[in-house]
Amino acid sequence: MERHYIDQRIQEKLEGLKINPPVESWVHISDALDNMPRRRFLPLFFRVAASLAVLVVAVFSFWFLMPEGTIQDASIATDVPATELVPMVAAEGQAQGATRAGLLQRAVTSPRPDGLLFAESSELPAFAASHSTTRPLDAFAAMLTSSDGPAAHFGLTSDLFEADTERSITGIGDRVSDYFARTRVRAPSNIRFGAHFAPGYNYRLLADNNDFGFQNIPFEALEDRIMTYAVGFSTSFRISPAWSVQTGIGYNNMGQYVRDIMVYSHPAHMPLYQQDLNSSKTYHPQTIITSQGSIRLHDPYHYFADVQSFRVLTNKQSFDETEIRTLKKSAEGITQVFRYMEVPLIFRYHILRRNVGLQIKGGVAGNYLMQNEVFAGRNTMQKSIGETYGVRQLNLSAIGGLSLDIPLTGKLIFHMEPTAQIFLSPVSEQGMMTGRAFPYSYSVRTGLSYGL
Amino acid sequence: MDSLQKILKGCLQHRKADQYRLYALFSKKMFGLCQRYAASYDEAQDILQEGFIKVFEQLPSYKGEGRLEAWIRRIFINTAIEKYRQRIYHLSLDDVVDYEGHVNQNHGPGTLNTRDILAYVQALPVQYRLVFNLYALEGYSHKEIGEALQISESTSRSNLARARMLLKDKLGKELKVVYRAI
Repeated sequence: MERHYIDQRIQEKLEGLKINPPVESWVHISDALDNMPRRRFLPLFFRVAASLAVLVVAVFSFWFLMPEGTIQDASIATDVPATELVPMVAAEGQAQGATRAGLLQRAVTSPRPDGLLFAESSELPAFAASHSTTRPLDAFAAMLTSSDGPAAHFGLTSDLFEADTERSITGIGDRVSDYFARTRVRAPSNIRFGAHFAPGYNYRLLADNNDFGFQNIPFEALEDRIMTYAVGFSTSFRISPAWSVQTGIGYNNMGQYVRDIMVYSHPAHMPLYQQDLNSSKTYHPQTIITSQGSIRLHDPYHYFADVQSFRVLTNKQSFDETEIRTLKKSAEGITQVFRYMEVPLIFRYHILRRNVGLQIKGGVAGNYLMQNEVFAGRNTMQKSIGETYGVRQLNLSAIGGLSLDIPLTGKLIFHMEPTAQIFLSPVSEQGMMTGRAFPYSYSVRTGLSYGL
Repeated sequence: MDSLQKILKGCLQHRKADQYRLYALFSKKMFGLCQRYAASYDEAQDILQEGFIKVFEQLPSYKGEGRLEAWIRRIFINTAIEKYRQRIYHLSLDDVVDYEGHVNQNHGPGTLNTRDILAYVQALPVQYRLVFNLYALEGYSHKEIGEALQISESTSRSNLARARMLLKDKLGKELKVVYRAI
């Protein structure tokens, strides 16, 4: 059936018609949705905390549920050369008069990593002494040198009590030495110095009851994370075989990208409002509201317009309406950046030491605000156009994560550390206006450390 | 598609940010549709708000069958129809006959733009406007329109004819020129 020409003509014009709805429409919808009964979900913060808790439980489960003897401790290596270790401890053990059966019993039933752990304790000398001329010590060496790891050899338990004097201490010592040379296991240094570079994502957590702060502005949808970096130097001290504490100094960038703010400028790059020449600082007649605080602009060459909400407050008397219409778009969105000097205090727990090491780390950091800048667009290498008002000068942050340690030489270790960091106080003091925003970052810290 | 699924998931979890994202995704198109069904900007705004609230309420029943936009569009059309039903008891004579009073601009051939055409459609008496929109733009049959508006099929046909006649008075000369040339 042929369509009526009126229908056809009007459909051509109106089909797919798009018209910007008034800004207040969303506010009304949002209010109505707030009043609807709904199922509440855990805030993001608790979900993150729950995920971390699961991770910690998983790591500790891994630790406790692993079969005995599958974890070595690098503390087996001491400053004493391996070739001298066995004869030396043998002599000491004999002097202490330890009984062979008792020591073996403790070695094989220990819930800690197997007898290797004894190397650092006072029990190793006695252990080694009582088996220096027996087959169990041979097993001990075999256990060390095996490519399958100690677990495969722990089944020798029943043989340990059988005397065997055919093996010599020297031969065992050589094999232990070979093991050390091959695996590059070295004594953990008591003091380490390091440097790191950490590219990562930065954003903020809104801690209001809903996702919104000021007048139902949907900040979650209008702001986005940014990629920044942190750098730093650190020193760590070993306070026990498993624990170490780290401090240092760092430079950390936090911030966010604010989307759907159009930035306009004059085609001839002329200032857009009259500057007070008598004043050292002239403020822009516009203010931009973000979840991390209001932005006070100081660049006279830009005009800002919010295309999705009403975050830009304008003193219209300061602008010439006809001139505003001649402006050209120069950027899209703005980026807030907060640069902090950071002094961390981090505790590290060694959960694995094999050819590579694995640590779990957690701690706090003091963050001192050094620079507070706002940029047009995403490029933060250009000139700043303003600053966020009311940002706290000093803040505290919590840090947590894992560290994968790859020994490069005897003293040099390469670290790769998935790290999460969250500020413990809102970035801005003006929470009444915009809600409470806690900056956070997740990054992969990569760096080197050198042990003394 | 992944991001739309993510938004929908967030909406089902009542995450306001995702609700806003869904709103931002479809609000312009749906407001265009609302304008066609409404007599005024304010009425279109009412339909838009009510429509989106229904979208969020009914989202758990969306099973992913068919395009989301078509599903949302249907909700908005039903909202406009409901609005009409609520209003039908308060219709004044002006709503039925005062077409010239709403639109009295004269255009020469070739000068009509989308805004003008929208104004003519908005100015149609409420029932004519609904029937015209449903038939000409949404592809409903007269039977479906009759059921939706609770009118007979013949009334629907008559309303459509009257709507076309009113529009023709405004657009006719130009349109005839255009379509005869094709």
